Amino acid sequence: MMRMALRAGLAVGLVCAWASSAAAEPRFLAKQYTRCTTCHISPTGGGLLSAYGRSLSHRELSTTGAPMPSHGDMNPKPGEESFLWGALGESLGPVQLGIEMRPSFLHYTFPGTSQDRNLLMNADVHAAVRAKDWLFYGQVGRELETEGHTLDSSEYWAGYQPEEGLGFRAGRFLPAYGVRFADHTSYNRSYLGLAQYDQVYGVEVSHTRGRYLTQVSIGPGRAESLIDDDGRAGFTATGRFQVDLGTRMVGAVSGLYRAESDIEPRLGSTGVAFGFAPTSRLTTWTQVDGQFRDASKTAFVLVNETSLEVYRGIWLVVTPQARVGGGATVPDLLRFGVGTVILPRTHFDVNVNYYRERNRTFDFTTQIFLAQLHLYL
Amino acid sequence: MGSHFQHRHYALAGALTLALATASVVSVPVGAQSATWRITSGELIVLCPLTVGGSFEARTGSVSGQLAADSAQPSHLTGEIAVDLKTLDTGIGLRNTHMRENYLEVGKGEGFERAVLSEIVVKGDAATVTGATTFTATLLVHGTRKPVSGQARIARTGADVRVEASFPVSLPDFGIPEPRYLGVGVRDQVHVKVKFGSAR
Repeated sequence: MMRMALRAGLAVGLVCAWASSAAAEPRFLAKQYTRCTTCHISPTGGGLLSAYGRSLSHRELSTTGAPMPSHGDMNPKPGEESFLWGALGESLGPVQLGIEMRPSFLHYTFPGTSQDRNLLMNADVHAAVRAKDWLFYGQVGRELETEGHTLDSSEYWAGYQPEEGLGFRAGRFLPAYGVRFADHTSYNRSYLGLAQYDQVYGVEVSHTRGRYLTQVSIGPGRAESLIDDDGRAGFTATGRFQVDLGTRMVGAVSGLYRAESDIEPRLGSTGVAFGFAPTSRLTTWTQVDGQFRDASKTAFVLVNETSLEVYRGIWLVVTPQARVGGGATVPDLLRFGVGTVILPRTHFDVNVNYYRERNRTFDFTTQIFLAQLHLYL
Repeated sequence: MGSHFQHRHYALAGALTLALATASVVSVPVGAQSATWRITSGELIVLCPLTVGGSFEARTGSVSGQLAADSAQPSHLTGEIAVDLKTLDTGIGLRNTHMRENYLEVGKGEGFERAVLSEIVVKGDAATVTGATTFTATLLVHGTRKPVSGQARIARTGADVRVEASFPVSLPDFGIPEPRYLGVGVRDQVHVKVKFGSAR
């Protein structure tokens, strides 16, 4: 009976859980990009692309994107890669905009049942304004709920973000922890409280110099819980320290502390992430975390994502994941995922993934097939 | 007798002089040959730190040249190490195009399409120094010639020599425009590492 209830709960929550937001792409470590902020506005990646990120998408990462013209202008006018293909020209001034949508097809199979769903996973508008080193960022969009959807803003913050030295931001954001895979259902995100709607209210202080990047945040807790007053919000502190060990090798250690809330116990996580790209077409990231609820209920999470670019803009992805320990109420999970990420042209990419997940505690297997058209305008 | 002795004396002196002169004439090229190295293989790596954090490498295997110990100044090497900058590769076209065309301006021809390291002075006897040492040299890049200095590690196996040298390069010193593209740039100082093997 308990298994039945669990399976039903999983089925209901699955669609919401797979709703995706703007993706960070740590696989581009293979192209010698070790920092999120090269291509993204947010220091934790994802969301709005920077002008450089858009240009890189057009000139370099997509299969049919136009190569950089010989003796090109170093401050080119908005072109195909720009917001709405550059239709607004330079009229936006310092404002950067992006529209993101993910029409998707989801097929999932539990023992004895399966279902197909066509859904619009997200439809968001992202905006940022930069004035020298000051940065203002906001996002508003369609958030999937258990039934239907709602219009909401999951990320908005203001901060001082210099190229080097001390910076800060305050507002609502996803705190820095480990490696932020595009797939927010990765165990190192969903089971550590860092999924797509787990932004916190807080202040983040960062320091970057040379090979080192430090990000520390504190705040009253998960933003959505604070707004809904659902009793899950607790003081939250995070820290992440990244070292660029080479142009294609990165190490990061992270920690997260969440104080006891009305309905959840005190929680701590610590982890190590290591990214390595032996060639310009292969990246492998591995993150290992320990999650501590109390001394007797330590859970461990292991996630690897290995990506191979078989042709310009066509990546094959393999991701083995495991979650073990944590006591009788926390299931032991093994997941194996394979997929492809196709970047045919600026503003479009297609993600096709298959996941097989084994729940060893309750002894059943889930299979998920997900196809997404990612539009980034 | 005296005349005979004198004649023999002069004959001996002449022979010795001739022998010494011959020996000196012969020994110069022998010495030069024994302390001249031709680069047989090499790689240049330029580490470029980004303004937004992180860094990337530009590489080329087009390293050539010939160096010779200067018999008059043992710490000096004559000759040069040259690198074809048109082949410098960062792994992606966007960076390659910017680096070669907009900043190194390799299309401008002589003085721009190659980087040349010359007038090398090592700490120690250039013909025999082994292990870690330091050096100074003159670098020609972007049509500008400036002194540079750095570290080197030299390993010798028989007549073969392997060298790994590194030195910082300040881009403004060489008149290279500030590399910036849509908010992302390369910092003013890059780090050059050159590795090469040479044989006599």
